[in-house]
Amino acid sequence: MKAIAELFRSLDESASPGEQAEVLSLYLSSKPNDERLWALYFLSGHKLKRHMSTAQLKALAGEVSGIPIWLIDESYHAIGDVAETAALLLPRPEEESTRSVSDWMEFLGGLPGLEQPRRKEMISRSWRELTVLERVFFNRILTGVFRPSISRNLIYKTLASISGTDPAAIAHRIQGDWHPNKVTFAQLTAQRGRDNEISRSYPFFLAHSLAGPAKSLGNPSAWQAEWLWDGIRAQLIKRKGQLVIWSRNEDLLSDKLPELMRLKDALPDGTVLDGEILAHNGEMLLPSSRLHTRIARATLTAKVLNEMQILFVAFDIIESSGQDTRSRPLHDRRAMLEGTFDVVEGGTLQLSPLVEFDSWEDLARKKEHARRRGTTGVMLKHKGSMYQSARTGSDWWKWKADLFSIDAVLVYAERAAGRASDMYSLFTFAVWHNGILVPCAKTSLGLTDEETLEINAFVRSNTREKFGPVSTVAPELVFEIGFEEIEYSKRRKSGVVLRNPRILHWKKDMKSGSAGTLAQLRKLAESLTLHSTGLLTKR
Amino acid sequence: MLVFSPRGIYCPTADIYIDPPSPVKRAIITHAHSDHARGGHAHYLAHRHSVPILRQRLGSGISAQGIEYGDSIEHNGVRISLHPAGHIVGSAQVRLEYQGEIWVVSGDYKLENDGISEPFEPVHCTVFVTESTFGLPVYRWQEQQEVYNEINAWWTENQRRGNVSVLLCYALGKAQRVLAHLDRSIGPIYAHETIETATCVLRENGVSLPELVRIPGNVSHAELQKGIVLAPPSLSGSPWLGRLYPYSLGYASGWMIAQGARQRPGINKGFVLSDHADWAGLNAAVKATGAHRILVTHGYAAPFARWLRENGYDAAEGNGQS
Repeated sequence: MKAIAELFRSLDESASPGEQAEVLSLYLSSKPNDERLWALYFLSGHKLKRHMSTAQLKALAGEVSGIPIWLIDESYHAIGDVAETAALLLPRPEEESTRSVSDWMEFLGGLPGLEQPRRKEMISRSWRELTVLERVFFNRILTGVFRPSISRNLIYKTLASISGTDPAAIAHRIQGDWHPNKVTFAQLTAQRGRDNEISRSYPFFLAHSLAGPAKSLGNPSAWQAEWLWDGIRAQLIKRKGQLVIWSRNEDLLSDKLPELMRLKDALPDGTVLDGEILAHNGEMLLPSSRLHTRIARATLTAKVLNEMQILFVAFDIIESSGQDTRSRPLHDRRAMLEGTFDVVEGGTLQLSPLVEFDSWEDLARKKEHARRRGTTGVMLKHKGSMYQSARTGSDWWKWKADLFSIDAVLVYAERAAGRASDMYSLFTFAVWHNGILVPCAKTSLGLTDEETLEINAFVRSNTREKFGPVSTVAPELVFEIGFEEIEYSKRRKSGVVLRNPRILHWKKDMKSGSAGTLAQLRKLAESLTLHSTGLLTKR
Repeated sequence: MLVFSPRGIYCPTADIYIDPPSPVKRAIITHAHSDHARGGHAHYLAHRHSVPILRQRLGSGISAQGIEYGDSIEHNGVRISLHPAGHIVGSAQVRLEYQGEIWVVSGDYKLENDGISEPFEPVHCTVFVTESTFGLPVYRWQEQQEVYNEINAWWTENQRRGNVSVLLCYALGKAQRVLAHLDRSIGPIYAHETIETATCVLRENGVSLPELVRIPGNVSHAELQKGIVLAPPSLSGSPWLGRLYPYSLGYASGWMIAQGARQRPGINKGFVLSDHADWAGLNAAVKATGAHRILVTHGYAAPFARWLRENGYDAAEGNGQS
């Protein structure tokens, strides 16, 4: 099991996607069939039945090592990962196992049939013959906590370059239902027909961010503007009576979004729509992070389904009546899109509304209100543009709105779990409310290495109190904090939560007394008029 | 005999501080790392090998007395002596004896013999004041030779790929420990000036260390690609490092045992090599002193003290009055 454990470690610690692809490619072209299949199985998000919770893992590691649970918890905080913590604190292996990965997986598959004491004994015996590196991998399988750091897309591309098979066909097969004991690597990556025709997606046309002034794009009347949504970009594919949903990251989302699957009958056969999946709560759009959390869930309970509603905003049609329409100009495709389905106001499937504007100045003003509508800016598309492959050309541009911002005071510094524990890297900022400072944002983003060192020096000599890894520091440093959204939250002392905060600027000249106030933030939250995108209708 | 004050560990009878953070009249310095050896004291007492480093770092004009391990001096009836701590060259545990009571302050220490520093020696005492930088059971070091092998293998692999090997390590102690164990048949060894300076000072103390070439100098990039560059961690992300591109960046530190630390942006490879005692080392050191009362400082003081209490010691964090 050494090779596969080492593969996972190398992928996690690679400095770049290029290095990851190289590591994976070397592994997939040099290891035996079963090693390759099991690696792909776990990398693509498949799991074995979970054998124990992380709490049970900690308890068993405690029993075997003689370390009390409170000390395991302290250790976990330093390391940041339960599987790794348990792997490190167990006694070093007595002799090293040479069993193959399939032997180990068969062993793991047999565990659920055993009585509890016998199962514990088998696991602790396994630990005795595994190295720390192998134990991390083994413990992740036991607890079902796997977060491979390599993107799915990169896995498909690597497989495609090894096998010469189309990445979309590979993606479809890898995400389907298969088991390493029942297929060979060659079967999994072979170029086959038929099975993927129905669900084949098109490469997404991606836009660059507009760097220069909008004026440089020329005559505004040649351009179409839409809101830039904060959701998940996806294609809805309806062919031969079947509906399939592919995300931009090549994830098959059909099973995750039953709400959208109900659209099957609303779309004619031979139709592919490009658009954005959005989540809302009936009143306002929710940030994409909430949507990602839901999609990551293994099972969709009624409670999960009730937490949010889903809609699909269509902004392009790239296949109509079975014909590829990508080379038609955008104004044609827009007309086709409008004629393809009946728009139901407030329904699940909607047309992306156009933002009307008569000059670049006019659009710039509208863009600055984008965040107040739950969007992140405007999207500019040349009316004559074809639907191109990948991020090419200069026909589609993202024009992002500035972040919201507030001046806030540094109040806590934290040594983040598992990070280089000698450095403070996570900082909490507060605003004034009735003469006291109320925390409103926590982030590690936006500082240069030099600023981080400088703040660390400040924290070390200005710590007032320590609670574990957190230091309360003298409230003297002021930073401009940028954030993408603001929401009400009953759980926070401040009553509001800032989404995706980051440090924009260290205001070295500003005294902490002049920093922002909670009243400013609350006023901002109240002013958000999320209905004006026109997608949600108020009842 | 000792009190823990914001101004440092203090012996009122002898009127002397150990590693004080702010200026005092008389200071005993356990070792020359900057968080222990601050400037501004009127008089320094340290091991003979620490003194030249203190002078180099704090100024040649400081008033400093260097003594041998085992030699003792007396202040107001308190007998003070220094004993090997094995952390870096010249590092010492401080033993204080007064009216039959013996206290030992460990300073930073490790139990393994790194081949450069005088190896750690347990000192029998009544009260042991121990550091706890790595005072959690997840911190356990592998055999040091395995780590040196890993570093040499990484260097060879970088050479094959045409990348400069840059290894971040503390300028005083870790850098020389690595230097002494690199396989010189692989290629030349280069270093940033702070490491070169520290290495020269140690050589003047009689420590025998391999040659290294200070950069930047008259070294072409092609030559650098065959070699390994030792640099202090503070250079991570600096323009100095940028000039060595393309390179692979390694980091030698005990913290590298955690994957989260190895994933720090910019770091390509972590090597678990520490000059501090690991969990087993701390426990063994505590036991070897024969002391019942243990005061824990520097690091995971609260959990390590609680662990010792649960194992029958009279242990506490070293920050209150004692």
